[in-house]
Amino acid sequence: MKIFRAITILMLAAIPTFSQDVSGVTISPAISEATFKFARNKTAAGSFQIINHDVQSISVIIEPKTEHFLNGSPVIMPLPPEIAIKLDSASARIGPQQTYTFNYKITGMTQNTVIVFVVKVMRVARPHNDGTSVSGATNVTLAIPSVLYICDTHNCRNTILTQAGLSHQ
Amino acid sequence: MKLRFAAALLAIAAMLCIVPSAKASGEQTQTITLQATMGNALTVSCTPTTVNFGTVPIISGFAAIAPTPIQCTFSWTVDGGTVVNWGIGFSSGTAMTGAAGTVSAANFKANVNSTSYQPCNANWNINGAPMPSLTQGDVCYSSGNIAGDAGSTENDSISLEFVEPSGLVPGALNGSIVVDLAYM
Repeated sequence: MKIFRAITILMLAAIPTFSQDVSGVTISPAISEATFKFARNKTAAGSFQIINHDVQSISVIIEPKTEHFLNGSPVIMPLPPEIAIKLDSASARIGPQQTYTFNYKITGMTQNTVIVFVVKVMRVARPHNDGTSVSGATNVTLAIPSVLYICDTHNCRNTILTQAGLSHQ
Repeated sequence: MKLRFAAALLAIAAMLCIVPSAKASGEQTQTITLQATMGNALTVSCTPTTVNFGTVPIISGFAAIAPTPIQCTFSWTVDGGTVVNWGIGFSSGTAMTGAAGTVSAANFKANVNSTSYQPCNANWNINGAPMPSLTQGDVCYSSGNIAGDAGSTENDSISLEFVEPSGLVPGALNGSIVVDLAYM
């Protein structure tokens, strides 16, 4: 019994404090390319996954954007009015060691397009009452993109980067 | 009578089945599932997940230093032959204001794989092209260029340090630090 208590105490002492928790997140795919025959009446459907490796839940928000290349410079911009993206869910709470799949549908594309799904992973800051006058904690948020290259030909990513004057090597 | 009624129901059902989900313009909508041709995944882990300037800060007058650097590690798996240029940066996220003052993103520093700390450089780029900004607000980027991962798993350790040498007083800070990843 004494040994059991000792082991239990040691295990509890080994549990990290909240502020030292590790927030491990996997996004898959991080970059993808697909071939799609553009037409006004066609909808492109796809998905990406978020894996929470943490022992605590995380909150995730998805912000779809587009990426353009201006004078050889990549620029992230809001979606143009002609492109509509429908997510089955724009946010989610992902439990410990759980995987969540975000499904999307894209309409209105008429040319080669780069869609960036910005995945924001957030933790809720817990206030500290440690006797000092600072009682709040500042969140560290991860912003991880899933970049989707869509063209009507193969080797889409290479095509777009080459046209932009960028080498992907 | 029953047969005629049943036949009518069947005809209506058949019509409903063949009538596409048409828009008002009469076009037939087709949903095509994208067949992705690249296989990859990225894993990111950052610690700590919160920064509290009240626990073990060095507060001298109007200066405050985050107790520990924000350390991020990430691993990357790709199909053979895929080369990606990418980088990491972070911004002040939402406005970091409050009783403790305002945090400037210009005071972020970073080192890559335990090299020396360097101040974040907004002009960091890939082959001369600035990396895209992923969030609003003040943004700065790591001056290191993590590039050329191809067909393997790599672990690059990014250590981010946050220092506000002036303008901070003990108090609550609202807002967030956003660790941005950008890649093409």
